[in-house]
Amino acid sequence: MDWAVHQRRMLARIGDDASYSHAGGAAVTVRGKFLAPYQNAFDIVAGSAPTFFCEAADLNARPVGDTLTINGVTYTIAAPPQADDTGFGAVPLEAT
Amino acid sequence: MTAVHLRTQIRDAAASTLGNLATTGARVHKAYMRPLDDASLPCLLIKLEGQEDIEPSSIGTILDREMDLVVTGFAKATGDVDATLNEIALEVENALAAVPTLGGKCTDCLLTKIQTDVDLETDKPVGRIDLTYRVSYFTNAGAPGTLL
Repeated sequence: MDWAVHQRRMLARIGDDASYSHAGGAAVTVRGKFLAPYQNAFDIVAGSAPTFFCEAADLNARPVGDTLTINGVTYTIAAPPQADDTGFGAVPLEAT
Repeated sequence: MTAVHLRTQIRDAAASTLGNLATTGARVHKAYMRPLDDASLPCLLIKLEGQEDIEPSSIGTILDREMDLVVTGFAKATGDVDATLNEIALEVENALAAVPTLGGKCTDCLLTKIQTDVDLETDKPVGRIDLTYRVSYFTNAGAPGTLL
């Protein structure tokens, strides 16, 4: 089994559904894994670094500014997906 | 002899002066602390930074002292965080200009530098603005807690 197939299988089992909307268009469901590890700013302001790990092809080619709604919370895509050669990668998100 | 060094008295006087501004309210800190959550922002952190320059005067044991008091504002927002930082600067500058000796704790307290920075690595942009004041004061060598 190649790695991309394995990742799709893993996301199907342990992933999250996100409602993805490009440029205000109709929302579609994208399967991925939402992560929000602790991240602080200037060593003094607490926060998180929300990311959505998914297949880059599931998003528009220029997704920055699009929205992903995950578990009822809407995020803006802050940077292009950092996809590896399997086509999967982390999408940096910003809370709205 | 006053037990508390004038450095602490000056820092505390600045904190007191800035303790009720419109944007930062009572969220004023005088020491580094554990990371602040969203409910604790916007806020101010007041600290004495870097080297204090001390020169003996030609009059006996009087010390001519200068140090930097840095007032840092922190804000976190998805909107125009720069505008919030500038509003914090406006309020801090107005408040400290109204008490140039910090209630008799120093001889002068002048704004010398403003620096801003924004961190985009967290869930919302976090901005900081550092207002650096040059504080001058005189003491006797053996009485650092008393302003001359």
